[in-house]
Amino acid sequence: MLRFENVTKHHAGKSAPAVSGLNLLVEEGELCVFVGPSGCGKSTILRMINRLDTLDSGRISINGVDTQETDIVTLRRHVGFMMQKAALFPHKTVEENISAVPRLLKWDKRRIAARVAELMTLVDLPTELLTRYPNQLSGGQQSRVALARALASDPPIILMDEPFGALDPLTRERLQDELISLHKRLRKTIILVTHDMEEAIKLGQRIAVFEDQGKLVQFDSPENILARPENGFVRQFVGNDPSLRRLALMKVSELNTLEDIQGMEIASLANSNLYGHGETAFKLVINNNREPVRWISETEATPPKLTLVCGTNSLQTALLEILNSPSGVAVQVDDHGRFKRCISMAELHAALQQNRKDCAQ
Amino acid sequence: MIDSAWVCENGWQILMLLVDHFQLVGLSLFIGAVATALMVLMVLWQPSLSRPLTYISGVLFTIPSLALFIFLMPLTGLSKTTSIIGLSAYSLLIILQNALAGFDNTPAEILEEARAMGYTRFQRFVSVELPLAMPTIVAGLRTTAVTLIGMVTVTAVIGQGGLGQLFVTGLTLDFSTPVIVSLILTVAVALFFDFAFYIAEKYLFPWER
Repeated sequence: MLRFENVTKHHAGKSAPAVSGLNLLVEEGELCVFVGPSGCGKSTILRMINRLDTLDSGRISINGVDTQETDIVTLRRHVGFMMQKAALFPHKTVEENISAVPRLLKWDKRRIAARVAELMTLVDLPTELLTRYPNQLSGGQQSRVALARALASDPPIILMDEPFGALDPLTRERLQDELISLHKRLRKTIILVTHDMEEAIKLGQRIAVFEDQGKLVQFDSPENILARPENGFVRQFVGNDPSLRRLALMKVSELNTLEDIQGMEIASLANSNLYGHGETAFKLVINNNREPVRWISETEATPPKLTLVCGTNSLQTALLEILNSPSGVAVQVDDHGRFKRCISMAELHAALQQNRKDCAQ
Repeated sequence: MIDSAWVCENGWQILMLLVDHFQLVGLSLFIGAVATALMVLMVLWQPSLSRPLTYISGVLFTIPSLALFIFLMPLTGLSKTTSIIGLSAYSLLIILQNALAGFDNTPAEILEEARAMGYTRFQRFVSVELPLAMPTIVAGLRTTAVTLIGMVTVTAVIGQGGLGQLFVTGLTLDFSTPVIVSLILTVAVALFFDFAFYIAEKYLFPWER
């Protein structure tokens, strides 16, 4: 449990406070996102937790213990920290980077080696990379190493300052997904700072929205922030049309099946079954393991490329699939990659209407 | 152009001069490096010293070499000491500038990350700042070594100078062979030092490129 009590900070030489009278309580095991415009003080707030920045007045406590009264080096070795530019030590190998804090804590060699191996699996990196140097890694791999390094000593709290900000959109999305599943497994308290509302909504169990001068405007679940923004500032920050963001919050697995899917027909072709959409000229080829293979077309020469969604994807992803696919549907598979069904636009629309009704109540 | 009989006859003497040359460069470089290390520690302890120290080494560097050796002669005589003091003084500026640049250019976010991970000030210096500054420091030593190899020959005026003495011999005898031999060997020594540093850099700093 991480508690801010009346925390105030002024930057030297500036009259406006960087943070003023902040009260906030982050529960143990929670993934909490601090979001706000650039320069609103959210990073400063994060950095005050491990005392990279000092506070002028007030109190920050971890499980009831005032951080000011903890030895600064001990405090920092027990709070994981990951910043935007990965900031790996360029002169140390991946292995040395990951094991940096355990070494500082003087773990014995065997324990360190075992922990490093465990972490490499956890962040999904091949062990060949252990002897590489950071500049021999891709941006995504560097971020994974930085994440493993932050987790190394198994700290109960992890602070992340725009950790995925410097990554390309695809890699960022993949790492976000992995962070969510990692958090589910490890149950660590994670505080992540971002200026990207979309990222906040995707990752946060609770989101703290900050205005300038570190003023906390709203601290709530993403659903509630979207449905009931506290004021004009939050509404503006969320965006004028939150429908897309709501789709991002809903999972494919939550969709109700609509009748209109019955328009699908099944045919047999050699060893495969064909699923066709009533009106379009595309049919889906499915092999004997019920895995979708590709689209075939009866009229057009080049059928669309087959992409799949699964239950854990968001409806926003499903929407993109529908929009990008000339067949007009997204193909859903189950955990084993077997064909489950096709999702149509009508279903998304119905789901969104339903969600709006639920939130209004 | 080269009188090979002369070279054979004086082979031993040439070899001794070559050894001398190595010695003068090596010792001056070493003393320069140690002196610079002390200055860097002073700057790390008191950053405001950076300017005056660079300024002093700069002034030393601008003194014409001939003048410096002649000035030192009454104090330390026609000895190796004289030439080593002079050469070490010249080495300071390049080594110091590179060392300070090395520490200055350590990325701020890396130092910050080290702080966030709970490195103490000493641990941060030893295992982050120093190793990251090393490539620039060694690059400075490399430039200095190559510069000194040429400069050593000037100390021939005080009876030292390693291979530089062959220039004097050639000049007084009006005989080109010693001059050419000296020139070839000096360049060879410079290339040797440069290559040795290149190998050392590759081996010591595998993370660079």
